[in-house]
Amino acid sequence: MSPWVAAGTTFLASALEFVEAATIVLAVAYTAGWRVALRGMGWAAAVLVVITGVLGPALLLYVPLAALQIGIGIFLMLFGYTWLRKAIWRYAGRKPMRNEDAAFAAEIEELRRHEQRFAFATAFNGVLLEGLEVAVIVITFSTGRAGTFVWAAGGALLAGAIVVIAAAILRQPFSRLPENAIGFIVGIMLLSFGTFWSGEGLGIAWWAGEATLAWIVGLYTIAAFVLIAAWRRPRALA
Amino acid sequence: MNSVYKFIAGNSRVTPIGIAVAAIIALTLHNGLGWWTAPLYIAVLLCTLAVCTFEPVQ
Repeated sequence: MSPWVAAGTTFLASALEFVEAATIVLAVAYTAGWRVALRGMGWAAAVLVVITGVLGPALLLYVPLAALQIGIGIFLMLFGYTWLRKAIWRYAGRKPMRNEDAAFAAEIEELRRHEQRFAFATAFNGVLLEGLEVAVIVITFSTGRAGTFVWAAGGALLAGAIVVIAAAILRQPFSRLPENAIGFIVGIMLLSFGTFWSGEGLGIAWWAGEATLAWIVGLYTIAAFVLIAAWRRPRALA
Repeated sequence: MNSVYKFIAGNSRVTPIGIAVAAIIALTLHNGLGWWTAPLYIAVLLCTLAVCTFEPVQ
């Protein structure tokens, strides 16, 4: 796998998670102040750096490659299915598109009913939970193939830096980001890599070697478009 | 436990079952099926994708 693909996929996945975390941090900052929001965000970021930095290399050192490929592949597929089916539901009109402005307003409403300690916990939990998914994706991508840890982590860090800088400049939720399109692409990529790696770990001989990955990406993309069209049809006929 | 399950599998019942079925097929049949194991593995996973969209929207 090209390290650029690892970096690109973790970049896109991380960007989405960081945008959601930024919405929470901005809501805390507006209601309880920047100090408590940044304190919560900082502690969560520190915990995430430790988890990613320790767990990733440790897995690679102590767990056999085939077991890693199966475990990591299954993890990626579970994440991939979750992301992709949400994107399919949204494109088919079965689930409303995520609205960062509405999420921001709801978060502020909730925060106004509580005290300062709750604001810290909200910022900490929000960043930790969204970041945990990023950490899992970075770890799984870097342990699937040796030497990709720096690229995968680099993609995630770059996404984090861009979102933090943009949030600091704009100081409002990112309501114009094509979140569903990014979720759709990331879902297909996670599902495809998960399928390929778990298959390798299970002893499947892929017909075109590493190039089979491109076939798998294509098949999932076609299937996703067919499913969107199929779910839209009953609504169009009604 | 529920929140861990939601975090990992998005509360889907179908996707873990589909992955398990595909893995069992790959493990048990890949000696007999040979080349056909790969398309069969992918076909089961594609069916899992289709079926999981029928689950209640979350």
